[in-house]
Amino acid sequence: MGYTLSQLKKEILQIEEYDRKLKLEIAFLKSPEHLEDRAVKVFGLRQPLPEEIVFLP
Amino acid sequence: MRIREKKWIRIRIYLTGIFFLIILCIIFLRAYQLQILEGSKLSSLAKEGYTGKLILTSQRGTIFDRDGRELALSIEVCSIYGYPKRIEDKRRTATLIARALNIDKRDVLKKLNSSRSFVWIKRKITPEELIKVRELNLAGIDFTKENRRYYPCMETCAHVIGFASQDNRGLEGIELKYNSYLEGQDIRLNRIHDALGRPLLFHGSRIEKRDPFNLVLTLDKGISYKAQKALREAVERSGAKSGVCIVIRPQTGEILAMAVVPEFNPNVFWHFKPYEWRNRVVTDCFEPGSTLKTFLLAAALEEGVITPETVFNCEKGEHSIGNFIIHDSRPFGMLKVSEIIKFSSNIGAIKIGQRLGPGRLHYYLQKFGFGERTGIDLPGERKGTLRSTKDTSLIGENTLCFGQGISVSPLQLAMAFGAIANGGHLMRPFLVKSILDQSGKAIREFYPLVRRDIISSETARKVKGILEGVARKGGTAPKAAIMGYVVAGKTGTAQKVDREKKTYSNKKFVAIFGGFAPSDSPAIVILVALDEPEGTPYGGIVAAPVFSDVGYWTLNYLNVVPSFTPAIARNEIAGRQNLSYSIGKEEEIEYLDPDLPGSIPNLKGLGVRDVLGKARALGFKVVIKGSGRAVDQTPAPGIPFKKGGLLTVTFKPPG
Repeated sequence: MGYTLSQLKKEILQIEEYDRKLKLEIAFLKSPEHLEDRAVKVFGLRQPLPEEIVFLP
Repeated sequence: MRIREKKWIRIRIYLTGIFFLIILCIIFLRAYQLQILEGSKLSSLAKEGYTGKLILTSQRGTIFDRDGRELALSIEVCSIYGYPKRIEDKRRTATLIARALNIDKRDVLKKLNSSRSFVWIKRKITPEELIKVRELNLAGIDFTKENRRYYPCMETCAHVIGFASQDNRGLEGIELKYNSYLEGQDIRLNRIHDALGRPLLFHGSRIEKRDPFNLVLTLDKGISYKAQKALREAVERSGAKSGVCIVIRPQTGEILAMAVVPEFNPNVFWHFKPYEWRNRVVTDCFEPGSTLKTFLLAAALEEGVITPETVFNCEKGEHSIGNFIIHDSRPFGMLKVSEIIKFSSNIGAIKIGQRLGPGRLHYYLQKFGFGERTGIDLPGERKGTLRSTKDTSLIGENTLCFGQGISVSPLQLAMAFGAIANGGHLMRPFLVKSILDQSGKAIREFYPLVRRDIISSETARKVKGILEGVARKGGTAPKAAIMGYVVAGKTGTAQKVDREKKTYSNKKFVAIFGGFAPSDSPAIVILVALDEPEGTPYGGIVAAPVFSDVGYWTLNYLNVVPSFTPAIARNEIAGRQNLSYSIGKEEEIEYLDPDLPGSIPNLKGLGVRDVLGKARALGFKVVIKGSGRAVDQTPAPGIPFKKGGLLTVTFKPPG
């Protein structure tokens, strides 16, 4: 019982830490700098021209 | 004989008895020593054999932007340490570690040769480095877990957020100011383990733990990124020494972006110099130059000593005060107040100032927040200088009208522009919206605070109207114009003081542009200042394009509907290789006000009935195509149009 409990607690701590690491990775990947770089270089996107922006009522 | 034998036996019995007695005494004494004299020490020694402590180093709270995107967070990483005394072949160990961690072998060897029993080899290593060192399986080398702070946006927002030390202590910016909230406490877990060292049970865990709090800022990651990028480009292009760009919400005082150049990466802040860490928005002060005319104008209008139509003689560009002669950038004759601001005439400003009087000007500048701290939640804020009227000479009183002899911080200037934008209220700027506990519940929230009311909304409206002229054709900053929106703002080109000659320098300037958009209901205030640009120093040339670039992007990002579309032919835009809003193109665009009689209003987004109503009121004939909401119109809005003309409007169902 004691072994299982301590094992589970250890696992929880590890998973929590892993979760934080993934959050950091997401934050880095979603940083505007990274996104802009990908958008321009990989997908060939560009800023919209004023005439291309449509505001929905 | 028998008697002698008996005697001997008795002696032997006695001797054996004494022997056992002594043994018993020794046992008793030993038991006394173990149980009474050293009992507590020994029992704790025993306890250490089967219990242990696991210290979990404290996490630091996360810092989020206004939309909950992480700007700073802590992650557990490994650090490598060594026990030099347990390492036999130090040279070999040092070589292997240095190769795996890509560090200098001599440094490692020096650490391993030290007489200390414990040495850090490298702190906060990457997971890849950890795997490499672990695979070496070296004796006397071990790992421990520590927290490392990461800033995923890197240079963006760096000066505001600041950074934390290796020991998780805030050293700069928000990290320092809110350290007591962000800092957590180490958690100690007691554990019992078996003879093989496997943990059996944790207990006494979370008693002394205090979770760190998370912060939600007013900053917007997207806007901050755009401001930083536009400012960086402008500083590089102009060769300026430094620059700042602030974006605020005028109604609340929330700071949306605070960009500073030179910049630094807080993930490796130790690679940068302290002057690069400095948040110049609050720590650096400069003379505001002509931007101050905005507040002179507001004061004079509020006091009723002038109207926008009042005419002053600008004396063909030369005005003498005592032994001094004040010049304008070009000679002007009779100018209306609105034109004095539009063309930024110094002599005109002096004339307005003379009518207002130095006492009242000083009173209003104080009310606009100059010479006092804004109260922002950042460390190291300076208050600038506003000399009292007693300490000011006659020439000083006059040059104050165009921003000499006063020093302000960029933030003070931005907040003062904010007061014009929001109808006359000076707001307290703030950066932290709320402090959350780990469950996401707010333990403290911060709300907008009006520091004081300065001018009436009517005066503010008049000032806005005059400032609109600055970004129009013929004004000092047509490059500040934002396509689709009416911009109000003011340029400033402040001469810096030459410390050696003790006069104003003719080579060193601060180029400033402060303003807001859309003028009628401002969504953002932007202030841009570039220190010592090389070549052309004018605020309207150097700083205004940053305003336009950041403003256009931000208004679009905030979904602020454009009030009009500039009268450029559609095919002309499509044919341009460069983006039409890019810096330096603005002067080609002729802006027409859609509210002027005779120009076509923007009908986009309106229903059929509204379009017909407007057209009837203005005397247009309308051709309706489709149904739903207006998505297109020919001719485009803003174009001069005669009564009775034909307007084609295309409608599409929403969604």
